[in-house]
Amino acid sequence: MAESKNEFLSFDLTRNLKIIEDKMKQTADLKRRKLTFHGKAIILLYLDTIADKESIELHIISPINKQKSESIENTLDTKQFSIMTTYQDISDSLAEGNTILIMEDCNIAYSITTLSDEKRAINESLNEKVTMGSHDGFVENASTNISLLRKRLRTPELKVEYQTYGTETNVEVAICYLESKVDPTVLHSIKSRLEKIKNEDLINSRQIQEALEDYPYSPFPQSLRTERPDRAAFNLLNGNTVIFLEHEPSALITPISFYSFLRSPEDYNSRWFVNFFYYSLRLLAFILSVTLPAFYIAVNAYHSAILPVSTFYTLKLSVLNVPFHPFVEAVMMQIVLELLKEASVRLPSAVAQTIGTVGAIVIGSAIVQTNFISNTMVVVIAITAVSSFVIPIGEMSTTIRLMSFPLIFLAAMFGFIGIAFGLMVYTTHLVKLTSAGIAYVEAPKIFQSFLNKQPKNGKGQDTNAHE
Amino acid sequence: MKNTFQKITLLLFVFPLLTGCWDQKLIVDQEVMNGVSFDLQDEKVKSTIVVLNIIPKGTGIFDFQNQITSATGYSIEETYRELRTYYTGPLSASKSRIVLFGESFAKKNLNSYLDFFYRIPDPYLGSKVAIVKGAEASDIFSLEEIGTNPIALGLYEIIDASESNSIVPKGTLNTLFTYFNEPGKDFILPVLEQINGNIRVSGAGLISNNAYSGKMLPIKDCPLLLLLMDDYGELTDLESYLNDEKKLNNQFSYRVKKSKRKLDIKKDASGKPMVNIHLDLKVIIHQYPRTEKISSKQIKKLEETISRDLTKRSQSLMKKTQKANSDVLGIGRKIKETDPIAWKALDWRKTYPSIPINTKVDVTIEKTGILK
Repeated sequence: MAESKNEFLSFDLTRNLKIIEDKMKQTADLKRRKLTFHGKAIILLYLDTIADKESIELHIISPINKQKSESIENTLDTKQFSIMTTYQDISDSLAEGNTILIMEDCNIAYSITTLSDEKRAINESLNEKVTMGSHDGFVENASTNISLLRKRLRTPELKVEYQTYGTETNVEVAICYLESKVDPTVLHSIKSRLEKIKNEDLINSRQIQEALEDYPYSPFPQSLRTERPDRAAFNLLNGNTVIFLEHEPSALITPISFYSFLRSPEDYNSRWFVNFFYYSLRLLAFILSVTLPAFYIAVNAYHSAILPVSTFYTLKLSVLNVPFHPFVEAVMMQIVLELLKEASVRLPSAVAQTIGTVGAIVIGSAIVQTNFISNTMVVVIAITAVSSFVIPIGEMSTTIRLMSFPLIFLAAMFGFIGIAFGLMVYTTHLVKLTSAGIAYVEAPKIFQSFLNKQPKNGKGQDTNAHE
Repeated sequence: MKNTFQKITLLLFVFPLLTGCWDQKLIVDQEVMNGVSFDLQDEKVKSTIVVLNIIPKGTGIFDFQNQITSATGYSIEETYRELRTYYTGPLSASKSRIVLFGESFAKKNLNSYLDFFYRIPDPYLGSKVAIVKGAEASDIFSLEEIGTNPIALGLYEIIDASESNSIVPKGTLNTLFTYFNEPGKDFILPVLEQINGNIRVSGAGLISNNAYSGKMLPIKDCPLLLLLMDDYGELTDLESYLNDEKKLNNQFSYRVKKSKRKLDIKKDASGKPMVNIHLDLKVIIHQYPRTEKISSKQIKKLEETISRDLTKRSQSLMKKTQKANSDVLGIGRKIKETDPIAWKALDWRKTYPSIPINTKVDVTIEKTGILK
């Protein structure tokens, strides 16, 4: 059937219905409901699967049956609706979950929003837990997520822009920023990068991340994916941009600096020395998880001269009967660890506990008893893993853990020189990286970052201080 | 990007071909010597090394065993080459805790022999050095263990303890190296002695011109010498007699809390240096044989007694060092620093035994312990 894209509705109801049904490819979940209004036939069309039937009943059918007013517009005044004139608009609108109302002898249709709000309740984010601070997390709905941000930033400066992406997916992307804080050139570059995926079928936020990244081949994430509104709000205040993808329970923050990945929102909620301690701890964890196994291998294979006597003998005792080169040991142990981790993520939580036991007892101790891997190596890899889990953002945590592999290899080849070389490559890369055109790594402003800038008047110098 | 990727892959293939893993010394393979000793035998050097082997016996339980081997040769390097053949892996001196010299070996120029330890990067410069008296140094190792410690580690602990008890100054192979190359300063080394199957530090051996002079100071004089050297340890205890009678329960002892040494060098008419040493000590009495209270008058008296006693003893100590021609105080170095022209004119080895050294010790008793 040859039809122009913007073919208009005719006055013939049956023809209209037939074309719309063809447009919707005769899908089985397209339902029609016939009503009469002041003697005229009315057809309601909706997709059974995504339209909210209760809302249709309450806000469309019952007012029409009551025949409150002469015109259909006035009857429907309680509900948001728009007027449609082309078949294309109607079918798009149906696909979005709206209900289409067509009248006999009328060449316009009404599209009424009846999308069922199958929303998950706002729960605590599972992946970014805190002990102090708010416990709400983003859900699979962009407008709810933006409302969570608006609750924190009650300012007209918070601007939201909607864009729809994908020819088939038609998914909404919301770009939020504080007009007064954001750098217009950075914002412009973000928007123009997003343009590139206009015609791609957008399914998950990784696609947006990819479009935004300056160095897609870099192992480091260049935009931060968070499930916590307080983190997003904090970054908005810093002039960063937050991007939501409808149906994704997370926000993408860009541009972002490397150190933000080592930060938890909890930090800003703690006393300065607690804040400082945990931030330093995470910096240490980062360094440990990248270099510790490599350092151990280098010492074991090349530089045992640097060990104190007692440490040397302790080490020697533990590696004495192990038949493998420390490099092989480390790789084996890393693989075992990744396997255990992956298995416990995939399994339902009840079974995952069993995996924990299997991992810790069966593999952990049995592997040592059979002299496959030395005790010290198990300790080293365990410390590495634990310190990588300390990093609050999961993406970065995995990246860091994997970053230790090349160093392990270099350490097994060249000892400390290899590690120095590897770290040089890493640092050069990190320094070169940019996130939306802004430097990724700067000097770690440890001291500035934990001291709040506002001067604090202690001991009730504040006039409002009571007593 | 493709270009970078190619470069990286190329590097990954080239890396294993470069040198690197060839230098590898796995901990498992390494044979580590814990103690080294040198003796002189028929005008040849006899080197003995102790390698500590650890034998695991199940998780957390282990046993150790010393493997002791000796070799003789005309140089240390020659003996080392022979010693290597006794062991299963590469032999490393990186954990040698102790270096022992037999008395006869110590009388040679130590600097030239120990050169071996300083040139290669591997050896452990924190090893303690000692002289063995009355037996061959290698005999000490055959004791196998001291207390629960393996012999070499035990010897290290013994010397370490004697350092904190102010019997010998803190010293390692590293500090020795600085003294070797300092013409105006000699040093002392602990002297070990085996008595009834036990090993103890029996005194401080005076080194003269990088060789053992053969003269040894007994333990009870050592703390005073260390005070004169201004190089004392954590616990510096001394005793004096209450009066001149040397009889039972007539001694009182005191611990030095603070010491100030003043070393003055003057020249006499003929240009010969004259040395005045003034020692100002603050002490605590920690043992006094009479049960009565110590009155302030008695304290004055005790101060005088100690001062007199220590002045006398220090005077004779300095005589002993002069007799051994061992300038442990570094008087020569001081002259060299302050008056380089005079230093050049002096033949220090000949001058030191004959210069007048006057000592004066002043003691203040600060406390008498918990008891008055």
